[in-house]
Amino acid sequence: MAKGYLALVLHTHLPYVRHPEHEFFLEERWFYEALTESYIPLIHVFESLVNDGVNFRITMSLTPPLMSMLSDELLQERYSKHITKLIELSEKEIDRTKWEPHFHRLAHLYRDHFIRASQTFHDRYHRNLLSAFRRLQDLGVLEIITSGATHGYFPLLGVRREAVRAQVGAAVDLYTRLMGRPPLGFWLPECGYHPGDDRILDEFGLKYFFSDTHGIMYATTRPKYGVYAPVYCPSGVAAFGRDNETSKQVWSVHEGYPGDFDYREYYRDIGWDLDFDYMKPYIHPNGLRINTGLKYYRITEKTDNKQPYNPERASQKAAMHAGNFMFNREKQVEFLAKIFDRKPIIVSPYDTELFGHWWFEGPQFLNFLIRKIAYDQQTIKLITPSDYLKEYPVNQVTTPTASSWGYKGYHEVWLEGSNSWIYRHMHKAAERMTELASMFPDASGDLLRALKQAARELLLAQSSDWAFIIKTGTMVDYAVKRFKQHIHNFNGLYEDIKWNKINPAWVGELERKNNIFPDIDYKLFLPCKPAAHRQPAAFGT
Amino acid sequence: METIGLILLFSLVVLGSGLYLKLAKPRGQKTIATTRKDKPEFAAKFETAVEFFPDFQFPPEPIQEQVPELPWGYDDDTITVMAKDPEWIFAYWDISEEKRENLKNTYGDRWDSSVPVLRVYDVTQLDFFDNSNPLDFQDIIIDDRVGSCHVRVGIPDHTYFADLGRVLSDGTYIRVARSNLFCTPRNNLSDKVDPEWMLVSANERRLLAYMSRLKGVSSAELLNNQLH
Repeated sequence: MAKGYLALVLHTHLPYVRHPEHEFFLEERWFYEALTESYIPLIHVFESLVNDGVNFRITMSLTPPLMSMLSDELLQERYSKHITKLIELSEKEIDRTKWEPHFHRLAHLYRDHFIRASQTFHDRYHRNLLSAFRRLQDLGVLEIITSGATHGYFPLLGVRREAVRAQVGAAVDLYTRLMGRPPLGFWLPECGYHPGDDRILDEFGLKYFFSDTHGIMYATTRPKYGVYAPVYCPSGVAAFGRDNETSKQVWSVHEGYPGDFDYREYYRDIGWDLDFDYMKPYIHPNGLRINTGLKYYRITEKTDNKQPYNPERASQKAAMHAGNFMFNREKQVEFLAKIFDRKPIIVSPYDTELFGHWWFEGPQFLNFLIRKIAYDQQTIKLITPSDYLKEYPVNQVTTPTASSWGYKGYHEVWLEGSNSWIYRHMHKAAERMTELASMFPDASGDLLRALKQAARELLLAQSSDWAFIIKTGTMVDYAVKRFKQHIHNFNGLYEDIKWNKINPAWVGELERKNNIFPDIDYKLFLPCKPAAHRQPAAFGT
Repeated sequence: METIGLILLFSLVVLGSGLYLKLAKPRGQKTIATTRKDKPEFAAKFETAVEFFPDFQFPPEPIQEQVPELPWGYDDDTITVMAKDPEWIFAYWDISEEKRENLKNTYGDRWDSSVPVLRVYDVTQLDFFDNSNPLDFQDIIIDDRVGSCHVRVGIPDHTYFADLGRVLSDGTYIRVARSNLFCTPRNNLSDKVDPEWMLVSANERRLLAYMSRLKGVSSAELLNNQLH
């Protein structure tokens, strides 16, 4: 009998990047690389566990932009070419490295890896990997949850409450359409919570969300179990708090597992290392060098003289680290179980792309960890939040504090000198969308198309990724351009709709280009009740 | 003529391939550089340098579409405030030319010499507000032509709103626009406990001591300050 639970939560998100107007688009590769290195290897891990009859439960968010990209035909077509080209490159590499045994066997390893990914993508799931995730959910091993429609950062969108409501509503609609059932849980983008947002989640039938540690610890009433049990917000939606210790072991640059010297080095890619003419067909058509995914070295040490990667040694390390991670969770649960009058739950959320893309051995680590938990011990058991709530339906009621999992724990990452200029446009557009929805609550024909496209442009502008990229300083031009373009499109549509001069050809062009949420309900932006603040009665006079 | 042409063409091909074989670099051996210092992202600039590809010139990036410029503001005489963390807020405002002119005309010279301020009212726990009963208010001198500012208001877990205003030389305060309500987030453990939801105190101390030991990415420093 287990003494406590571990909830592994994989948050899976990429911004909506799809550029039909360009044959090759650098930022689309974020998606292709994540597919090859993270999503497909994780599907393989979960399937192997199912095939071996291992008992496990994992929570995974798939954000609406990612779900949309997974089921988009153009991106499927492009990924098909991408993976085929990678196989071609790895075959050339097998030939090139035939006198260098260390690299030669790695080239083989990559070829096998790519061929397997291609088979899974083409033959088994007919290019739509969303059906792989859906199948795993239907098999009862994954609990897939949704997130903000375009991963908008709620605490800063919330000045216009309708904007948050639409982010939740559009996400729940899309999930229900694609997954064949409504979602149970919600990943608040960046764990960004603002008191009262839970009411909107409740309105759309969501049962739980995740908060950062201090969001729960600094709740209005002191949480009895710390972050090791959920609390109910006043709306009745449960909030689960992140456990710091597990984050540190996996995330931390210095102390985390992924920095081990035996693991594969991310920063040594043949796209940068090899002869230009040889690499030319596999890098940017304009000659810009880029990562290919073929990397032959291990982290070694802080040195330029990197040693060749040894997959067997790395695999052993992943098994060791999985054992260590499990041992620490057992100790943690034993400690907590002694002082609690219920079984504790340890919630460990991670970005999915960490596993495989950054930490090449991450999927193996999960594979070892899940098997060890199933067979090597009795203290902990894997669980999803909804299962925990079934076992413990009675929980403390309190309101978490506004918080996020970003640097310093509040909103600064998305609201500072470099990116604060975006909000006046974002808020104004949301206000205008509400105005349009109120003006035309029963639109049809071209007016309906224009209203739906305006809603899409607004949602795309709200993505938290733009503010984040602008702050971090890499690919800034792209983020600025995307933000301005969507707001500009929105403003144009607003004027056209309001002054009855809709140009169906232009709407059509935008529909083809920014095609997320084909069935968007623009009425989600209709005015909604303000948050239940204690608002001074004569305020505003 | 045709034969001569063919012979010329053939000799060109021979000459050309000879030159190619002589000049082309051997390929496929020793292609992995072993002394790369920079991470790819940062190395991008250096890759174009002579060191690596003396013969190659990068074609320019594909022509980018024009990035549209957004309007400076929307002329709607509003101020919006958001809390950024427990102590800092961000305010932006948008005052139309018309409103500015009106105010100028009303107050004349006194307007030109007035001081633009952000007046932040603390209305925590208030049920009624009539402009005269805030818990506290503070004036923060700002530059109202800039359109936005980050300011420190100081107290976590309080409810505020703010006016964009001007203080005339005789002390008269003039409100230009009023913001939304906003709350600064809490940054400490609540004193409030729910009697139905308490651990025995020794166990609570053990739990908090355990959690304060954990250093996470963002929450830990906050917890550390509180739990000792």
